[in-house]
Amino acid sequence: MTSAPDRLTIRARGLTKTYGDVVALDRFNLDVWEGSLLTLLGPSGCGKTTALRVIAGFETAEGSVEIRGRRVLGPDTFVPPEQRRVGMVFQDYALFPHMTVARNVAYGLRRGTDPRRVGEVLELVGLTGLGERMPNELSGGQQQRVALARAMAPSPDVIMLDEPFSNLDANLRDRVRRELKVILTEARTTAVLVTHDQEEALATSDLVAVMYQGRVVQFDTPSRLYTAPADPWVAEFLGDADFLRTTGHRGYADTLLGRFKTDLRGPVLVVVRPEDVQLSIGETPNAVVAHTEFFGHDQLVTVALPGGTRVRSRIGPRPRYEPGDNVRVRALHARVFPVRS
Amino acid sequence: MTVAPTTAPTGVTSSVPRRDRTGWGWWAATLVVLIPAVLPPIALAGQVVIGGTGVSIPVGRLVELFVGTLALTVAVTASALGIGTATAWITTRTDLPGRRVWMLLAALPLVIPSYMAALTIIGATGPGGLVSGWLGVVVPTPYGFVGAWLALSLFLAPMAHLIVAPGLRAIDPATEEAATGLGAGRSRVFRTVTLPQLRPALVSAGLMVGLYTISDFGAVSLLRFDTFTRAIYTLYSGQIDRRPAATLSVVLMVFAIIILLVERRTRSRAGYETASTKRARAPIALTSRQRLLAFGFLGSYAAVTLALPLTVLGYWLLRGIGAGADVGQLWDEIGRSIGVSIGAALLTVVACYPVAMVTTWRRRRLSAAVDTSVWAVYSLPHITVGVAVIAFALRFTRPLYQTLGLLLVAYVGMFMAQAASPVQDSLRRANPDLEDASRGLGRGPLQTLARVTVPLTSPGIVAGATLVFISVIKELPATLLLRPTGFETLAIRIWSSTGEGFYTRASAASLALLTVSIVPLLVMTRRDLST
Repeated sequence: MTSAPDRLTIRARGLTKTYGDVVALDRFNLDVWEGSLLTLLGPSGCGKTTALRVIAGFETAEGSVEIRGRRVLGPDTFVPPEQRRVGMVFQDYALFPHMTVARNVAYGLRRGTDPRRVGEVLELVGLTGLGERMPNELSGGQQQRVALARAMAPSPDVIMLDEPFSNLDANLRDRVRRELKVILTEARTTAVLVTHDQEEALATSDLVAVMYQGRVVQFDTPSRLYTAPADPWVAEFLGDADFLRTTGHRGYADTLLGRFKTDLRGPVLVVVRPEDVQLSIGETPNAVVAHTEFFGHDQLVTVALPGGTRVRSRIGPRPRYEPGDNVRVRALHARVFPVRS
Repeated sequence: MTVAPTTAPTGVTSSVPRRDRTGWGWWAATLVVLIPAVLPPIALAGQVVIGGTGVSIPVGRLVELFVGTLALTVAVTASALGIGTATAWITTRTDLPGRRVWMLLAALPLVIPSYMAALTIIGATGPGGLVSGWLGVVVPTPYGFVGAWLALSLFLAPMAHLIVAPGLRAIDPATEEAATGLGAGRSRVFRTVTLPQLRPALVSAGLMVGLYTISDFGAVSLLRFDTFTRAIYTLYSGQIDRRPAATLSVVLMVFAIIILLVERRTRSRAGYETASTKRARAPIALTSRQRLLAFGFLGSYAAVTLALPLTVLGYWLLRGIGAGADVGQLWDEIGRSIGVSIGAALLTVVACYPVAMVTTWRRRRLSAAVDTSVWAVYSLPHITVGVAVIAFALRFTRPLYQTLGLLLVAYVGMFMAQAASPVQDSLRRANPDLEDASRGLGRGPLQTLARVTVPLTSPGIVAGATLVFISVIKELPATLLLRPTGFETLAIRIWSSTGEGFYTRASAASLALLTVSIVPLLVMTRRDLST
C-alpha cells in the first residue's frame, strides 16, 4: 500500500439513526486517515457499534459515508456491504462453524487469487499449520486471530474490530492487544476499533474518538485526551478525576488545592487527576486523610478538605498515610471548565 | 482506572433491534408458496357462503354427526391424555430401569397410522381373526364408537406423552422439594404443585389430540363410526352435487381452526421458553411393588400398540401365503409411495425456506400472519384440504385436476408447517453475524445464502424433510381424493384392502409401509435422544 499520510480512508458525515426512542447515532462525524489505528471509545449503548455497522454497510442511516473518496452511503446511495471493501472482525468472531480455518480465511478471496495468500495471512497472524482445524477446535485467542486473518485476506481498505478483546480472559487480553497492534502495524492496515475500555483505547490507538449518546464528543490523541479532556464527562470517563467548584476571577480560579489559570469568569469546575495531587506533612495542614488504599507500587489517599469535599491523591508507596493524618494538599495541574446549567 | 471493563460482552447489538434481514425477495417468494396453500380453503368457504349448500343435509343428521364427533373427541382426548401423562411421568420422573428404552417405546406407536390401527383391531377380532385363530373364541369386531375410540386413544397417547414429558422436565424440582419440606406427601405434592404447573402442557396435549381426532379419517371410516370426516367422504364420493361435502368441510375446518387458535394461546401463555431446567433432579425411587406395576403398565401398553399390530399383520400375511392367497405385487405401490413422499419432502423444504426466513427474524404483524396461516393449513383435516383443492382446481386450474402435480402442491401446503418449524429453529440458532461476515467479505446475498445460511441450517432442513416424508407416506384422505386415476400408494392399498376384507393384502402393504417409514424415524429419534 502506498501511503500518503494525509489521505482519508473513511469520511463519515452527519450519520443519524434512531431505533424508536433510542438515539443510536446523532449527527456522527468521523475521519479515519490511511494507515492509522483509530478507536471509537464510549460507554455501552453510546452507538459505537452502530457507527461501525453503518460504515460497513450492515445497517443504513441518514448522512453520508465515503470510503477512499467513493461515496458508499448518501441520500440516494447505498453500496451493499459486499462492495465496500471493509474487513470486519466481529465481537463473537463469527467464524463459519462449518468450514476449516483455511476455508474461512479463503472465503473472501476472489476467484483466481493465488491460493498461497491463505498461508501468507495465517503466517502473519501466527497460525501457520492450523489451517485444517475447525473453528471449535481453537482457543479463544486463536479464533480471534482467525477472524482477523479472514478480514485481512482480501486486503480491504480498512479493518473494523468490534470489541475485539471482550471475549478474552483478562490475562490474555494485554498480550493479544499488543500482538494485534504489531500485526496491524506490520501490514500497514488502516483499522477502526470499537471498545468501552479506556485503557485499551489509550494503549492501542493513534487516535481516539470518544462517543457519548451517538456523537463524537472529543477526537484526539490518547495523551491529549487524558491530559486535556474537552469536558468534565470525558475527563471522568477516561480516568480518575475529582471535581472542585469555585469561581473564575481575573484570569484565575482559586481552590484549596492552589490557583489555576483560566480565562473563564463566574462559576467554574476544576478537575484534578489523583496523580497530579501531592501530599506533604510538616507544612501548614489544610486537609485530613480520610481513607487509604495501598496497591504496592502506589497508594491512593483520599483526603477531606474543609467543607467536606474529598480529593484523591495517587502517590508512591512511601510515606504511608493513615486516616486522621493532617496533611498539606496541592495540585500541580488541573483543568478548568465552565459550569453548565 | 476507575471504570472497570465489564467482563460481559457489551454493545448495541443486544439492546437494539437488528437490521431487517428479509428483503422483498423473501416476501415475494413467501407469497408465491403461500397462495396455493391458503387460497383453496378460503375459496371453498367463499363458495359455500356465496354458492349455497346445495342439497340440504337434514338437521337431524347434522346433529348426529356433531354429537358423534364430539363424543369421540372427548373420549379419545381423556383416555389418550391419561395414558400419555402416565407414560411421561413414569419415564421422566422415576428411577424405573430402562427409562430411555421405555421413553422410545411410548413414543413409537405414533408411527402407526390410524387406518393401520383399525386394521389391527379388525384383523385381531371377528371370525377368522387372530384371537379366534389362536384361541378358538370369536370376539366380535368392535365396529362403531368403541373401535374408533380404542384405535385412536391407544395410538394418539404418544402425542400426549411427547408434549407432557418436556412439560414435566421443565418444572423446577425446587418447587416440589419445597412442598415436601413443608410436610406434603407425594400425592399432595403432585396434586397441588406438579399438576398446576403441568396444566399448560396438559391443555396443549389435549387440544392436539382433539384436533387429530376430529381430523381422523382412516380409523373412523374402517371401523364405521360416523363423524364429519366419514360423512364428507361418503357425500363426496356418492353424490354428483359436491356442495354438501363442501359445506361439511367448511364446518369442520372452522372447528379445527378454533382448536388451533386456543392451543396457540395456551402455549404462548405457558411461556415454555423460560422454563429451562435448573438442575438435575433426583428421580423418585419406586418400591418393588410400584416398579412391578409400572413395568406392567408400560409393558401392556407396548404389547397392545406395538407387538399386537406386528403380530396381527404377520399372522394375516402368513395365513394368506399359506392359503395360496394373492398377496399382490407391491413393488409399484412401494415405488409410488417413496417417490411421491421424497418429491413432496424436497418441494416442501424448498417452499418452507422463505416462510421460515420471514417468520424467524422479525416479530412483526405480517410475520405473525404468515406463521398463523401456515399452521392453520397444517391443522386443517386432510379430507377438507382435499375437497378444497379439488374444488379450486376444477374452477380455476382445470388442467391440473387429477394430476400428480396437484397432489404435490396439496402436500406442500398441508405439511409446510412441519418443515418450517425445524428450519426456523436452526435459523434462530445461526448467528446473524455470520451472514454479515460473509457480506463483508465480498459475497452477495445469494452467495451468502448458498454458502453460509443454507449449510448452517442443514440440520433443520434434513429434519424438516424427514418429517414431511413420514407424514406424506402415511397420508390417506387427501391422497384418496386428489390422486390421479390408478395412482395407488401403500396407504391407499391398506385402506381399500381392509375395507374390502382382503386382510392379507392389507397386512403385506402395512408391513412394507412400516419398513419404509420407520427407518428415517429411528434415525431422527436417535439424534434427539443423543442431544
